[in-house]
Amino acid sequence: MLLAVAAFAWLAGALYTVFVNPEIVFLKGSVKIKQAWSQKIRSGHPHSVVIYGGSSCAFSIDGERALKQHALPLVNAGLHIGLGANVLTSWALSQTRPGDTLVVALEPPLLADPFEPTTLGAQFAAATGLPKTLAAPTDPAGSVPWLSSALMVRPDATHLLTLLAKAVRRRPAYFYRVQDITASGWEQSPHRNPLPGPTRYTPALSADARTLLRTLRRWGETNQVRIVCSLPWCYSRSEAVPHFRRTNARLLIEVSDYLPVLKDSRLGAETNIHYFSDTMWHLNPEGAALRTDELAGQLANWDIWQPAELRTHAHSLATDGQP
Amino acid sequence: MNFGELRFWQYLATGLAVILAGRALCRKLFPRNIDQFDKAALLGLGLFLLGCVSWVTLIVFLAVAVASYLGLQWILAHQTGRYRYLLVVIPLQLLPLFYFKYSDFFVNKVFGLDVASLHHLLIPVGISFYTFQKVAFVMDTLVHKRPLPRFLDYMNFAGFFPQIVAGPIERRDDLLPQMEQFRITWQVQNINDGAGWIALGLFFKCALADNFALYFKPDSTDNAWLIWLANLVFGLRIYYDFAGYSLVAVGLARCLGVRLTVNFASPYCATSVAEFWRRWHITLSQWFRDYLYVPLGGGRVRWWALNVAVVFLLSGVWHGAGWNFVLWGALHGAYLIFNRLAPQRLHVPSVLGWFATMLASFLAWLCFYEVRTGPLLAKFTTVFSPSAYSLTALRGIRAEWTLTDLFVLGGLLALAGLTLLLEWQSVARKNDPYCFLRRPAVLACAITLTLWLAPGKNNAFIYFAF
Repeated sequence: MLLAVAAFAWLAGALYTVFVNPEIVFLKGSVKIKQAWSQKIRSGHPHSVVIYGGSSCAFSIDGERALKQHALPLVNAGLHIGLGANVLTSWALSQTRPGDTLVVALEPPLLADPFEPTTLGAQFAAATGLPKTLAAPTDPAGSVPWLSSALMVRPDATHLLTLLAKAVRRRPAYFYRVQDITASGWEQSPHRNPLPGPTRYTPALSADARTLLRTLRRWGETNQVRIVCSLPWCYSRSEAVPHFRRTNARLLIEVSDYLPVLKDSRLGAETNIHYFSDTMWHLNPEGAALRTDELAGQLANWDIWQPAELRTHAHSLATDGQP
Repeated sequence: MNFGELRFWQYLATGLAVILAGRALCRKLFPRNIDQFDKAALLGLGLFLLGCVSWVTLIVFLAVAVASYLGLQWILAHQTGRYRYLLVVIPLQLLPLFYFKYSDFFVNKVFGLDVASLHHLLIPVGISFYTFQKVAFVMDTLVHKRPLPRFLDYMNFAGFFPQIVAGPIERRDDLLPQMEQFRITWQVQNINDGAGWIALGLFFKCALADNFALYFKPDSTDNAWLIWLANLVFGLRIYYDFAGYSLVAVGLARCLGVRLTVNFASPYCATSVAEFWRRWHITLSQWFRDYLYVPLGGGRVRWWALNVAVVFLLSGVWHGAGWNFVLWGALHGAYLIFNRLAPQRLHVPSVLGWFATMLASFLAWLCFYEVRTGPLLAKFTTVFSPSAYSLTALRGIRAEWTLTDLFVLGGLLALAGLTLLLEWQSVARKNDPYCFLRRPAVLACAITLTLWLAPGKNNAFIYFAF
């Protein structure tokens, strides 16, 4: 009897998660738009650029602008950092074709921690019918942890009680809306919040991140996809910039052992608060336009950091505190 | 061996499947030895699950268990003056515990030596529990003049997997006879009963303790409201965490036809500190009572207060090597001494007694989670400063907590409150803790809530650290 109750409770939780959970509904809507844009781009261009990461990517790259201003066919495959690096990468790879360029724009914190399946990742995989996104992204025969993933497809106390709190306070069930996503999958938010600047610094890659970058490089060579890294922009107060850039430079030195890194002198730190919207990782239209233009320029010129350059840069930041 | 992790249940299912297949084979090939097979299989399962935790854990456990058995055998080989050999055997039993748990504290912190190799020793899971169980086993065998059990039965007593890493600390007379009679039998009544305990334990652990862990914010040292809030959240977390583990252990054992001591009896329904200690971690309290408090003279001697103090100081040290645990023990010792002195002059209504007991217990939890001496003293100073309870400080909660987080925490506290209410009713009406919570309808709700409320991220049991 108790087992039957458990099965029924799980099933009810899973159905809620897949069909009702506002965050998953938003992500499904976002995926649909991004896939439609990808198809549209592919119908007119033999090769395209696919950029992916968490929401910093979704908010910062405007595919329509890249196409109009720079004639760059670009797919913004950025989704949500909570999906985890594996799911984000798997989904981006599913949008990539031979001859494409893949830009890895994962948020640095994602590269610092061990890659464990996340609840949101498991829920996304179930809701989109893409369970293989939970496996190692570059391994087609990779195994999916079925049972543990299935048990994650359910709500939790924080989710349910937060939803209840929002209902009581007459707030929308989810902060972001599908209607704020443009046709190219570029997301925007009308909200503005006070921004504290980076709360976490990532000076080194985790072992899982190294494996990911190594296998991505091999995957790119095998599948004729050019792969490059680009650090997302994060709001940083001026006084925190030297330290932030120094740690980012150290991280990029490690990344450059595996993949080329696009040369962006900001090194992930942007001090102009007027480029940001509701979080320190989310650019507003003005910031996104600048980021898109600069990215297009870096890709067109294949402007890449040389490891020695990065080392010198990191060293200069360490000694005089200024870039 | 974390019952809250799916991995444990997968290992257990794998182990049981192998045992059942082996048993079917054994029944055909060696039908007369099936009882030996059952015992060996239980031991094998226990060692396998312990090995899954880590090899160090398994090896240290085997060392303590085998050394205890051989030590006892050596003592029993002597016809006279057996007790003096305890001076060799008991320190030998305690040696691994002292090395892994206390050497850093005593060598580096108390004596100020700087032995780097002791700084980051990993404590093997369950060492405090099974070491005490083995010490009790040796003592009970000698004091009650019991025979040396067969090695296989002893090892099953010593390594019975549901209770090995976090108790209950079972005694020879309670568990060993069950191990001697152990057979693998699947009785519906046992399994139903056991499943109920397991469901309740997982509800405590996953739906309550793991969620409280997410909302535990211990950083403030100058806001009394925030400190009390952290104490409240931690106190509820540690109870549901440890009691949850113990209830799952009881349930697993029951499924195998073994009865373990229920280690908790609704301690937050206690109306005095003495009653709290009869309801909290019962087997450890009994251990200290029987092997320390009573031999010191117990409560009938003039220096009973000293006995209480010694017992609680050592109980504090048992929980961890640090001044904070010493202080925790000292506080509870002082509470109990006051408790014993007070009734002669005071007649406290039970509601007031309950409130005072909870206030004292939750205040003492501060010593459990704040391991740094400086912040611990600062927090105590704040808690006893009337000015730290100002309205400004109360409003300071909003600086630390968003309205949504407070709402979520409020929901969790309401659920914990409802659970405590049912526990209280179980005690008040039936004197059977958790009986209302084990009713089928309540268990169905508990299972549903576990599956809908448990956070995706699992936390290790707090008592694994002890």
